[in-house]
Amino acid sequence: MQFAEVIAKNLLHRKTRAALTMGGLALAVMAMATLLSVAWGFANSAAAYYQARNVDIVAVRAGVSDRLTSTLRFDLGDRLKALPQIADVDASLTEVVSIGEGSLFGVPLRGLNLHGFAVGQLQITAGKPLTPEEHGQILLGVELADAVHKQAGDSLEVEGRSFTVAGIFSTTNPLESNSLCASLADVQSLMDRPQEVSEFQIRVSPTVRSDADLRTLCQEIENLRGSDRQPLGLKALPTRQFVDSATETKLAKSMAWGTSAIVLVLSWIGMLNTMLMSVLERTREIGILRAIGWKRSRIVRMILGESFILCFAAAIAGLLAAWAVLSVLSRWSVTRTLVSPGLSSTAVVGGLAIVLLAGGLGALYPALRGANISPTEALRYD
Amino acid sequence: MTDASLGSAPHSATAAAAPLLRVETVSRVFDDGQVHALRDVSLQVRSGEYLAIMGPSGSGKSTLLNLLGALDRPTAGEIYVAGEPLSKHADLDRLRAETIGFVFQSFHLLPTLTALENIQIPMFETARSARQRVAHARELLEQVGLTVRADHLPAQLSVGERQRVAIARALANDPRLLLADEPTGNLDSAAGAGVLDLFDRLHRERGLTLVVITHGAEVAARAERTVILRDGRLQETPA
Amino acid sequence: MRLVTLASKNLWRRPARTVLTVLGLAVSIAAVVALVGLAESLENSFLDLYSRRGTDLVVQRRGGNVQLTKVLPLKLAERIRTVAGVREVVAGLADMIAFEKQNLYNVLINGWEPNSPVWDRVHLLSGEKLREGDEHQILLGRILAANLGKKVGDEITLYGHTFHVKGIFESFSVHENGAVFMLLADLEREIDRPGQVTGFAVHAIDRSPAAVQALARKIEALDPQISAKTSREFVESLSQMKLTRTMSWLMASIAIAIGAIGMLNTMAMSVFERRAEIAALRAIGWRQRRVVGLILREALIVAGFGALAGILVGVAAIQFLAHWRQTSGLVQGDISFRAIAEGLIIAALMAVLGAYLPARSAARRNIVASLHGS
Repeated sequence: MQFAEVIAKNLLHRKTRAALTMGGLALAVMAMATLLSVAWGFANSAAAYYQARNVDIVAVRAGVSDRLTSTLRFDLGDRLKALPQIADVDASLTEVVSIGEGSLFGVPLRGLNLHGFAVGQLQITAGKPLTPEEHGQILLGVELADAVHKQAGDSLEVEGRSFTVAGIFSTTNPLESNSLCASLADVQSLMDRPQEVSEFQIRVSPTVRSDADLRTLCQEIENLRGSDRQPLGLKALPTRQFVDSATETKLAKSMAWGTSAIVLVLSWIGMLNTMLMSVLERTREIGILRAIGWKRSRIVRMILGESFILCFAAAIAGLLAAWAVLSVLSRWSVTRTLVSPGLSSTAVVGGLAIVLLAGGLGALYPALRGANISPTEALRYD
Repeated sequence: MTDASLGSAPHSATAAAAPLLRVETVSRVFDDGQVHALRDVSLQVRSGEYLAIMGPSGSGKSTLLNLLGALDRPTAGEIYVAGEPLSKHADLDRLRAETIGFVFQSFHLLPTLTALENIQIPMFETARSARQRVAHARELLEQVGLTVRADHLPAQLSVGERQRVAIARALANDPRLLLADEPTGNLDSAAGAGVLDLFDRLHRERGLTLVVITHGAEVAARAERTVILRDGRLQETPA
Repeated sequence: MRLVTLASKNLWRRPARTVLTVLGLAVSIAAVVALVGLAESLENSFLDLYSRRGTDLVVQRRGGNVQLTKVLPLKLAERIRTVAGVREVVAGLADMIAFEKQNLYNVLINGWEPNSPVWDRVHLLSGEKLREGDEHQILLGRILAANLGKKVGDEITLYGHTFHVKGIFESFSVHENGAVFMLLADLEREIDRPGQVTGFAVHAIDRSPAAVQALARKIEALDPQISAKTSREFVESLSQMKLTRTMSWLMASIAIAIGAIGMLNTMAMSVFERRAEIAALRAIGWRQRRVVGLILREALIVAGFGALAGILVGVAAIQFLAHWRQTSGLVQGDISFRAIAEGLIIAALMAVLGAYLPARSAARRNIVASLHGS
């Protein structure tokens, strides 16, 4: 018989308690892994959008709290293009809109500059692309088109105005495939924001090689001044940094960490309770083990081992559950724009860390208490 | 001590005429027919009778007592308590609370409660105010001679005292029938004799019907009648 | 002796377990009280901002959810003023800014017209009010000024441009105390919204609900693009409020679920240990209902202490956030009685849910088998 068998049999002796303790821990892991995956998944999808278009720097208005929907004048793009280190500049106006007579809220609408480089990246799978000549045309992401049951040629209401679906575009990016696009001019007129864009996407020239070069260029963009000698008020960030500092990302991350803190405390209390009860009710049994020659350290290892098995099983169950929850959320209409299926590596590491931390800390005191049971006293115990 | 001081008059003459307990060809089978604990047992206990059931271990004594106490149901046959068949009895909890008192070999007192509090436990089932419960529990404690031990926890009492508290608890709702399962099994002989004296007095002064399971001859000697169970079958000995 | 005495004595047999279970429950309830209380306090203080100023209707661009990026032309104000029943129209442009170096995000910035009644409704603590023609001058709310360490005459960078602090004001509302005020024209230029505002606050002559509703319909008839909502409807429709509420409940429910499993675990352990004792109670005539009642009382006592501790911790957490620099401009720190009531109800539900199944299975367990310890 292996030492591990002793541990496993101890757990199986009280199946309900082992199962409930594991269930609580698994729930903790699930909650944490799900939230972390959503937070990082959102950032990754957003980053992928820019990477697919070879965007190196994103420029928005300085000082705003919501960077994804800042406001800038379209003609500032010409100032950026004039910089020698910049190869190309594109602009877009992103809004969050309701579509189909209010049946779907919070859908991202991107107004694309039809003369820019980003529009060419769209893979149109049905219908035709947007043209500068035709107004009132939109392109739907493939998943959004599915959700609203629309195909090329249909009409669709956006913010109360009727548009024609010119075509459907396909992409592997969940953020994008649940969004819709229209020409910049159409979005500006729809939202009463003439001449406005929310961000500039910048491709740098080959002379910008290192990260340091990139940061220098960002600094240079932020120092640009207008004809009135006042700064233009731009904030330029390398793509990844821009995405990570987006309000959505920060909000999701702080929520994930906040929940994790609560969950950690609860798991710790749960594990402490279970292991302490388990040690107390086995006072006699442990005393006998000590009497027949087990060292204190072996008692400690036995109790920590029991807790470790519970934690490990809980981690596996919790991560599987998180994966299932993410698959469901990535299909559900309310959350599909924010959630992509699959666990992020941060989530797996975070989930494992929380359960091992809570489990280890929770089992420590009971293990020491168990080790201090004296053989004589335990045998007197009835 | 008079009947009045015991708080309960002997039960009526009509009940005395009919047997309080009637067991008719009862069998009890466990493990899907593997074990026959009782085979066609028939038995009558008069109201006010003191009966001892003897037999070696595994003879089916406890099974019979559990059936008499409405804790278990027979596989075949019928048990009548005060003329009513148990199989058709609508409320066995009430029967156990009001008509039957139980005394166990291992007492089963609640360790956190004092003697006085333990005695009040069955009274929750009969409508009494908290004040009445305490007053009645004190009376019972006096009857078993433990007034000075009222505020002691079971762990602070001797085993004989514990069993007397358990007997007081069994009497809490003035039952007509007291069932005792090896009541002296965990006691030394002096304490055991004390408990048997108490049984004698309850039988004599209250007219309480007593059914005691035992394998000790000294217990059987005190009873009016003794029956012997062997391999699940009943053998009545001459009185 | 009462049943509840027995229940509390039973709990005291395993003090460590009882205390740990109370603690676990307290953490769950603290999460509910703090998070839900925070969301409600945010909503109430925002609502206060409108109702205490006498705002009856908020006019905004029509849309599924209200957002700061959606704007209306300023000249609409004149047309709204002509609608019969309108006493006053306050136009405002709002934006959210961040002071990243100071770790302050979501700072509200308001642009008001020079003759707006808003200027007279805040109390100037130091400096001077803004006058028509002032450029790159701002007023700071009391809390924001303290958090940024700015006083009158200091320079401050907004939208990458340099501004001067002309005055510091105090308002009854935590949101305004944490905000920046500037002239509408200045803000319009900064965020490139010439001639545009986020919305209008409308004060009605007749403030009865029916009259306000009728007025809302009349204003909406001016332009299909606009919606007029009562202050309450407006605050509830703010996407930030919805998000805060949803997130609070989501986080709280995770805490509730884990706490409930802990409660279930404790009660299951407790009745399992006592199965022989419970069987003896049944043998001496206790009904199943009374056994269940005893165990439910034990769980409710634990939940009561857990709720008490949790509510104290939750309220303390809100007070802390109201004084912490990063959140003091958002959190008012009032105690939401609704959140406390919700905490109490949830604690009771956790007790009942956690105890009922173990209690019922203990009550229904075979008496004969349990009595003899199998």
